[in-house]
This record gives sequence, C-alpha cells and structure tokens, in this order.
Amino acid sequence: MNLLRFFSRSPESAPAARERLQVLLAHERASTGGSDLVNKLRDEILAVISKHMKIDDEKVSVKMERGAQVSTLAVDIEIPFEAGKGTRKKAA
Amino acid sequence: MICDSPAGIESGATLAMRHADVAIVVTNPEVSSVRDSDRIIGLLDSKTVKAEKGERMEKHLLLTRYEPARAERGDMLKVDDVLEILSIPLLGIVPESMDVLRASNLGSPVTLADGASAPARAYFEAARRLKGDALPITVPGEKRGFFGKIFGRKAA
Repeated sequence: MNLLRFFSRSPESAPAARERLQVLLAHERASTGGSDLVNKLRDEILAVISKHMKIDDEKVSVKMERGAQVSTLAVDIEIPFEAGKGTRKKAA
Repeated sequence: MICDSPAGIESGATLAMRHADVAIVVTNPEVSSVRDSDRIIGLLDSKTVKAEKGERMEKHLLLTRYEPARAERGDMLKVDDVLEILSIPLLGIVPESMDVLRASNLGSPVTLADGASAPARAYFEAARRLKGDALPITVPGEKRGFFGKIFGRKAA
C-alpha cells in the first residue's frame, strides 16, 4: 500500500493554498476598507450625541453588515443612568 | 530596541506595534499565517502612531519554517507566492529545522545554541540586512534539503 501511495502522488496543494489566500484576502481587504468607514461614522455619531448628553465611549457599538442586496448599519448606544432615564436607545 | 510581539493579531500585537519605527512581519508559508500577516500589515499602516501621523511604516518580511523541497514539489507556498501576496520586501528566509525546537528545549535561541546551523545562519544574515548590509538573500537549495545548493537572490 505504501508503495502504491509512493507512486500515485497526490496533486499539488500549493496552488490551492495560493488561490484560497487570494480569494480570502481580496474579500478581507475590501471589508477592512469598510471598517474605516464604520470607525469614521462611529466617531462622528459620538460627537453629535455627546453634544447633548454624556455617553460612555466604550458602550457604543457600530456594526455594518454587508449583504448581497442590502447592507445594514446598526448603531447601539448605551446611555448612562444619570444622563438619560436609564434607557437604551437603539437605532438600526 | 527590538520588541517581540505575541503571535497572531490580538491586542498583544497591536500594543507591541503601536510605537514602532520599523516592523518585521514573521510568517510561515501557510494559509492561516499569511492571512494574519496581511491583516497585521493593514494594522501597521493604519493603527500605529507613525501611520496616524501620516508617515510610512517601514516593513520587512521574514519567512520562517520554509521547506524548499516541499515548495519545489508544489506542496508548500513558494517564497515568490508569499511575496506576491503580501508585497513587502523580504528580509530573510529561515528554513524549517529540527535545530530550532532543540534550541528552544534548551531555553536558548537557535543563534546561540548552534550558530552554524542553517536557521541560525539565516537569522544572522537577516539581522545584518536589517542593519543595512547589502547581503544577497539565500534561498535554501530546492533539491537536496536545507544544506544543499544555495543560490544568490536579489534582496527586494
């Protein structure tokens, strides 16, 4: 059996690795371009809201999801008890 | 001053790179490693103090655990594949070697444990290139294992 394996060499795997990487990185590079946009949006949204009330920078989440047809931007900001009425404001 | 960063792309790496002037990206010729390196290169260009000041971060690639025989058989990404994908200049190629684990077991860097071994020589040469020596990059020979043919390679 070992002899058989020796002679019937499996096909080269490096081209597959190369192709996988190219597809993967093309996708990832495109989405990191988007995360810069998300960071910018986050900073500007924060600046606008903090003009009117005190918010904790750490308790803000901005998510962008890309779909084939529609992309969504979800902003979740937690407003501290003292600043508002202890409610969570959610916009999507 | 050289600061070693934890492997991977977690917070340890981003902390280590934050105030860097020059970065050496160490990668293996495998998909997961090259992928992480690509992300690290992206972070080096955006999340470091230097990048935020609008300056260009100097980056070098050190390819480790390279097995020329397997690359030649088509079972491992070749140096050129990795360079093409990551497109940063090559600092050196460290061949896969049992000497590295042996040195690690002894608690000693391979350059001190066995300075004449192939990986140690590769590290010494990489260090010299980092210092500015125009040393041609040697790719471990493709047919007779690590100690086989060595041919010159133009430093990128």
